[in-house]
Amino acid sequence: MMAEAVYLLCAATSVACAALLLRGYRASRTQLLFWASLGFLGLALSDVLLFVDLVLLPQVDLFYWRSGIALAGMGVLLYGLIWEVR
Amino acid sequence: MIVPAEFPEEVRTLLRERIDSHEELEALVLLAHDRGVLWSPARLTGSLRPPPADPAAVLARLAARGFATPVAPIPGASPASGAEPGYRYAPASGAIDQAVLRLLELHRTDLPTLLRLLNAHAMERVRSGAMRAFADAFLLRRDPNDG
Amino acid sequence: MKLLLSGMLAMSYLVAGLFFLRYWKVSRDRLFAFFAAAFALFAANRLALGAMGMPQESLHLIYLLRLGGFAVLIGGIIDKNRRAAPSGRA
Repeated sequence: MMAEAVYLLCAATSVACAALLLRGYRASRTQLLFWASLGFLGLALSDVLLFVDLVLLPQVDLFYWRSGIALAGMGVLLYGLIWEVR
Repeated sequence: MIVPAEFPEEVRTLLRERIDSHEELEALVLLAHDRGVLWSPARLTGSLRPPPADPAAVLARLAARGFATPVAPIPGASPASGAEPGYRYAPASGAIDQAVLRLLELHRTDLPTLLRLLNAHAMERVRSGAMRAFADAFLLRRDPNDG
Repeated sequence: MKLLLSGMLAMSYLVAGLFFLRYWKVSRDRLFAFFAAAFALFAANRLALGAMGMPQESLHLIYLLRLGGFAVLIGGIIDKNRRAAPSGRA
C-alpha cells in the first residue's frame, strides 16, 4: 500500500510542476515551458496509471499504456529542451 | 568575448545583475553624477542622447534595482517644475554606491569596454532567456513586474 | 518488448538530466542541478527495475529511487523559493 501512495504523490508532484510551467508559459510565452508542461503531465498520467494498475485493476497489465504515455511525455519534454533553448 | 581582468568584480556584478541596457547605464550615470538633482522623465528625455522611448519606465527600473528613490510631486506646482514624480539618486546600500562610483570612473575612462561588457551580458541573457523562464516558473510567489 | 520500452524510458530520463546539467552550467541556477539529479534518480529507478527482470514496481524498495527523485525535485523548488531575492530575481 505504501508504494501505491507514493506513486500518487509522484503524480501530484508532476501535476504541480506541469501547472507551474503552464502558468509560466502564460506569463512569458516561452515555448519551452509549454512543452515541459506537457512532458510533466505525461509523467503524471503515467504515475496515475501505475496506481490504477496496481490498486484498481490488478488483473490487467497496463504496462504498455503507462510506458507509452511516459515515453510520449518525455519525448515532448526532450523536444522542448533540445529545440526551444539556444 | 574578452572581459578585461582589470574591471573590478563589483562593477561586473553590478552590470550583470542590475543594468539591462545602454539606456539604463546612461541614465544611472546622469543620476549618480548629479546626486542632489531631482530627475523627472521630461528632464531625462532632455539630457539623454538618443532620448529614451519611455523615460518614466527607465527611472522606475532604476528605482526598482536599488539605484534611485522616487520623490513625490509637489502638489499645485506646474507640470514643468514639480508635478511629475521625480527620482533622486539613492543607492540601496553602501556597497552599491561604491560600485556605482567605480562604474562612473570606468564610464569616463573606458566606455567602449564597458559597452562591450553590457552587450555580452545582454546576449547571454537572450540565450538563457528560455532557461530563466523555466526556472522562474517555479517561483511560487510571482512579482507582477517579472517575466 | 517491455525491457526495450523500459530502456528507452531510462535513456530519455538520462538525456533530460544531461540537458538540465547543461542549463545549470549556463544559467548558474541551482534549480537545474536539482532537476538533473531528480531525472538521474528516475533513470536509476528504471534501470534497477530492468536489471531485476521487470518485477512489479511495488514489490521492491526500488520505488524509493523514484520517490527520492521527486523529493529532490520538491527540494529544488523549495530551495529556489528560499533563494529568491527581494527584487524578484533569483
